[in-house]
Amino acid sequence: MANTPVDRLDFDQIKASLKDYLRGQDTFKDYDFEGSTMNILLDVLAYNTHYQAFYANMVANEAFLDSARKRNSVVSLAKHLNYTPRSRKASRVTVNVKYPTAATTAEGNMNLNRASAGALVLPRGTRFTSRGQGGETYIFNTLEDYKFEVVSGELVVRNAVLYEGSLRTDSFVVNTKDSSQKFLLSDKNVDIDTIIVRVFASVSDTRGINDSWRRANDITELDGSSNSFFVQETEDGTWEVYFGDGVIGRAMENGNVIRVVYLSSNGENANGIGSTDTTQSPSFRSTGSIGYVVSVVTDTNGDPQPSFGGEAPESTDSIRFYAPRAYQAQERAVTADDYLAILARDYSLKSDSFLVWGGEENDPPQYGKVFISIKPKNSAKLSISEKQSITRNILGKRNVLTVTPEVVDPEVIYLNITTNVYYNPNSTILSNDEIGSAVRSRIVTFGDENLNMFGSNFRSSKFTTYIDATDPSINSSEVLMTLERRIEPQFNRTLPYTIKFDNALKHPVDGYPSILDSSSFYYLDYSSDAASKPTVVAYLDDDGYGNVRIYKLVDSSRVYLISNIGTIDYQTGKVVLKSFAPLGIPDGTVEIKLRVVPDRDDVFVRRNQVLQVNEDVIVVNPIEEVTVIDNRASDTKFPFRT
Amino acid sequence: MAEFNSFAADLDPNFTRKEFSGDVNLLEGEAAIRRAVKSLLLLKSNEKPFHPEINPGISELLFENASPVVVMEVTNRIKQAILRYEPRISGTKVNVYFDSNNTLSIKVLYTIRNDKKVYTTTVAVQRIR
Repeated sequence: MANTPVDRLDFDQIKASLKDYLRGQDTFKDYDFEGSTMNILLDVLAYNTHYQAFYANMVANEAFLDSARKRNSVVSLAKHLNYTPRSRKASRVTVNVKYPTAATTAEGNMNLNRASAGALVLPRGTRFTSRGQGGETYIFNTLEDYKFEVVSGELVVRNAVLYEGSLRTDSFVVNTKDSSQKFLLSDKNVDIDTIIVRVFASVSDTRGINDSWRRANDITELDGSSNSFFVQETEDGTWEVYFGDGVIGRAMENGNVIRVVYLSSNGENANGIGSTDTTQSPSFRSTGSIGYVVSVVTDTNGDPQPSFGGEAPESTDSIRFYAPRAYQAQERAVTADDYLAILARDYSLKSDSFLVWGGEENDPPQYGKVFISIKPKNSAKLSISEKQSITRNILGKRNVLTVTPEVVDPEVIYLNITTNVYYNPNSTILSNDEIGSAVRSRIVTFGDENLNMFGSNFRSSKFTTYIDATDPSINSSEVLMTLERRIEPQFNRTLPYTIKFDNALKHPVDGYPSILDSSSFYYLDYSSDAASKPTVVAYLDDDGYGNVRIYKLVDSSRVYLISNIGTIDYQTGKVVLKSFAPLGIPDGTVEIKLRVVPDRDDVFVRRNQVLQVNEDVIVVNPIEEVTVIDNRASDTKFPFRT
Repeated sequence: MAEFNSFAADLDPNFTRKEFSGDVNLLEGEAAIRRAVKSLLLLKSNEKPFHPEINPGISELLFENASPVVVMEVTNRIKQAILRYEPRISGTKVNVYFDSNNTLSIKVLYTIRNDKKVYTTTVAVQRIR
């Protein structure tokens, strides 16, 4: 009998093995001819074997988190690790809402009185319409009550948060005799963070309807009377609410009525609404009989803050990545990885990147602390209230008692990029300006894709390669760059400041021309002989010997006010201003920008530093360069640049 | 393909049994080959697992007009199928004609290798509804 190999699992291989086997006997001879009965039987046998092999392979694959392909398998395996996949997330926007009635009318006066007494509210479930960037209409809702305040005679709710989606309600009557009863939410697009559960005694008895039920994440906090519910994704992608057994979480009783209210959202599609809002053309409008006037809040620069945070349901790959890490953290923040896993789960909505390090590794060391740096999605740093919220609500419950978490801002190093781009005008239909514009947007894209993250260094060769790929006509490019850091000094106070660039600065020899530069600021003119020193517009530079100076411009010449306000270390990139007392900024902003020339074209970051392309000062110089074969004398300039 | 043996042996596709032993009857020699040719001609597209191409493609011509062109096409397809999948026979001649009750009658005349005798297999292809 032929030795039949078992590693051949394709249909044709299996059939060939069966034929090999039949060659060893004399009874049947027709197995190799497609019309024969034996051949048809071999087809059936091979097909069956192939089918079973494939099925066994799939079963084995789907049994492990690493190899499972079907979403319901991955979700089910993640469940073993106590990991609930992130559901769709509703986009949200912060707005100010004004009550439309003027205080001069009778109704206005009545509302004014109610508001003063704290009785005039913008209730939960108030709906607003908006138009998306593609022209689609989205509904935004309040998810809590907001009290109107009286501001300058007007009735206003400040910083109300609206969530995109439609509020839906599902009700269930508990039947304890039905062991397979499930409380499945009817809408797959639920944002599970918005679920509110109410349970009352029966259809005819509403006792308990005002009890608050809380979604449980940690069973150690539960006992048999805890009003807690659990949420999980089911096999077909819907969401299920379920309850405790009377030991861990309160159990349902026969006849109880469960009412679940939640937001059904369009996820990321509703992000970005309101970015071009003005007072005359607001994106959000009230849908009810009271025509509330809605305006999105603005940032410190006066730019409207559009809706954000809408997300699609967590992808299968993301579940595969985060589930083991969440299990590793065990709802406890002990190691740096634990902090990262918890923040990735609970704060990923608002952040691009996280970094965590222990206080003993800090400079200077601060024992008993752990530092968390977060690069937010829409801004350079977090507000104080957001930092407090993270330390109290997310980390405070999970970290070690004797370790204090502290959220610190990322240190942004801006890259002021100037590029010379040499291109062949005969190889492109783009004009000089269009080449410049294309390269500029390419630089911005490079920053978005490769920088803005902790640990992301700037590699000059990768950057120029990326720029060269902008258009086939580009022969080469070169980059000239300064590094910029910004400080927010306290005006009219003399204080020391330390600014770390953490990259070697250009300093070939002592006495080398100044490589430090700054934006303008007001300072007392100590070069004046007057008893009362006048205020002048001043700048910073260095003397090429490690000293930082303050100067003013007189007919484009530098006149130094102070020749040693601090030091600059060219090796470490550290600038120290010892007793710096600026009086203000000419353009009314609060930041002074310090710029230095790095020694190398590559720029490296340390710890919580983040590199960011300064989009305001990108300079692109497209230079025409026609390459021809050089038959001329060697001292002829080549290639020819015009 | 396996080499042609002078004596073919195959299972009876009707799985009839031997009277005394109860074993399934075998078809041997010319009977086995005739049955194989008939089965081959009746194969439809996708009938063979993973090999949809193994079929003469006659059934798909059933709803064509009964013209000389179709007769020629059926003849060619049968010859191609036998040439490709039934190497035990040669000298194939195919007669195709439509009879009065909308049946496509196919008569295949062939010789078995190493045997000068001409054998005949007749297949009738008819739509069933």
